[in-house]
Amino acid sequence: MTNDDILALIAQETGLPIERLQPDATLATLDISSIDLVSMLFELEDRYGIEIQPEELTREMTLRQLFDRIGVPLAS
Amino acid sequence: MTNRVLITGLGCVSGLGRGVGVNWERVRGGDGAIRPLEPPAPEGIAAWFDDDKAHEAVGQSLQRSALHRSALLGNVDPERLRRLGKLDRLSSFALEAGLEAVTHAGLLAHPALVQRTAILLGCGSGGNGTIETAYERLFAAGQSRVHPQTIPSSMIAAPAAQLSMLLGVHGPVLTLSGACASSAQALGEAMHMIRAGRADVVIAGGAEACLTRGSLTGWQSLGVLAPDTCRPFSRDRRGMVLGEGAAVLVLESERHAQARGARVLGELAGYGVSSDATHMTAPDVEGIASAIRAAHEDAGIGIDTPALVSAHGTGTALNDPAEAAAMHRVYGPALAHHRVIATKSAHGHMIGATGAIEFLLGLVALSEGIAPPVLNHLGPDPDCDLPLVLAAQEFAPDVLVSNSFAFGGLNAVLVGRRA
Repeated sequence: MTNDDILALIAQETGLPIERLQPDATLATLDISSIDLVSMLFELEDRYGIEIQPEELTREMTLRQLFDRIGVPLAS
Repeated sequence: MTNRVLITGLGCVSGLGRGVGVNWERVRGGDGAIRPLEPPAPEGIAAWFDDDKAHEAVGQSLQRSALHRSALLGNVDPERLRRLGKLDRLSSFALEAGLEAVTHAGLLAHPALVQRTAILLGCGSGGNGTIETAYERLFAAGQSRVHPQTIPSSMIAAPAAQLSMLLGVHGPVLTLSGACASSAQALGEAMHMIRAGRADVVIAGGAEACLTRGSLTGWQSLGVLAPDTCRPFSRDRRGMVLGEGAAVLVLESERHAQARGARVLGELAGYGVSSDATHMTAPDVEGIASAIRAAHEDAGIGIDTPALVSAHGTGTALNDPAEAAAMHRVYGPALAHHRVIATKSAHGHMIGATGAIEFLLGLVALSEGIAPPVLNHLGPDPDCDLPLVLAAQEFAPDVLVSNSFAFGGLNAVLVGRRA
């Protein structure tokens, strides 16, 4: 499981182009809907066994923080 | 003054390919799409849509779909696409055909789409692939959760709703389900919406994505699928062959089309509908005949006016002779003026989409003045004695009659007129 795998998963589940998935973007600025978020968490658990409860995520969370929580810190 | 219902845009996707152009070229050229399914799909034959993921998509779902490889999407705001969520194959087909039709009509991003436009799609079933994927996880793999978008992606209303989001249509958005007559009913009811003044434009048609393991197995169990190919009205025919895809037409009031200078492709002039109320699967000759008669009466077109008749023509033992008998009952000796085509022999039985694609191809045939051939015909069946077109021929009547009959005894016949 690499950064790229997770970026691809997020892009797939949210429909966002990968170039918009910048480390300091927040879930709010990316305008990720709650159902896309839940879909993303479902796929993370399904593919990688990573369990994250939706309530752990806030609208202010950045992608960098999300990657930290997933356990694959962003390189840059 | 009656408000005639004109056709100003066409779009389709099927086993024959993507877009009206290739579909018509292959139908006219006798180049059918029926062929063996490929693993991991179950064994069988079908007219399946081929893209680089097609054989994987059969029996699966919830993937970013074929739609995302459509050249047409360059015309759509990507933010709109995001809102659609996960697309079942059913939705991909509907969106692809809908986008083509609306682009063809010159209505993409047109202010008319916002108000006074409706969407009316027919689907025989919902997102089979999405539902089966969820059930496989639960019942076969013993998992306890399914994808969070299982319900919105698989609902039968999803394709029409997603098309409204893609196009920005704020008027009535309806889904109609009448098995194999779904999209013929959708077109007919759409015509009435315009006649009644409820809409100026209706984006109407149908979609189906039934080549999933569960759905295909259900059809196989019913015993109506041919092991070889689809041979409408032929001796030694052995059944129907499933197809998949979508067809969408833009219907527009004459006033509206004229006001914006739209290119007119034809007219939807009549709609006849009846219910056998006799049997779930066996057709009824009088039920069929009454729908054909009603469609002619609605259009004000006599039964002896030469017509291209696009038959339901499934290739099953029971349907074909019942349809042939109904045509003889309605037309009598006037049947000799008509020519009968059966394009399921090329694109397979597209269930909820079949009425729309058959009407669409019939309309193109009218405008081209060419009747496309019934494929795979082995020779006459005395119980199906019809003026069949067995090789493409020049035939340029003004009238199209398109028959659709469905399980449940639901009959819907459309009458079109050349532009």
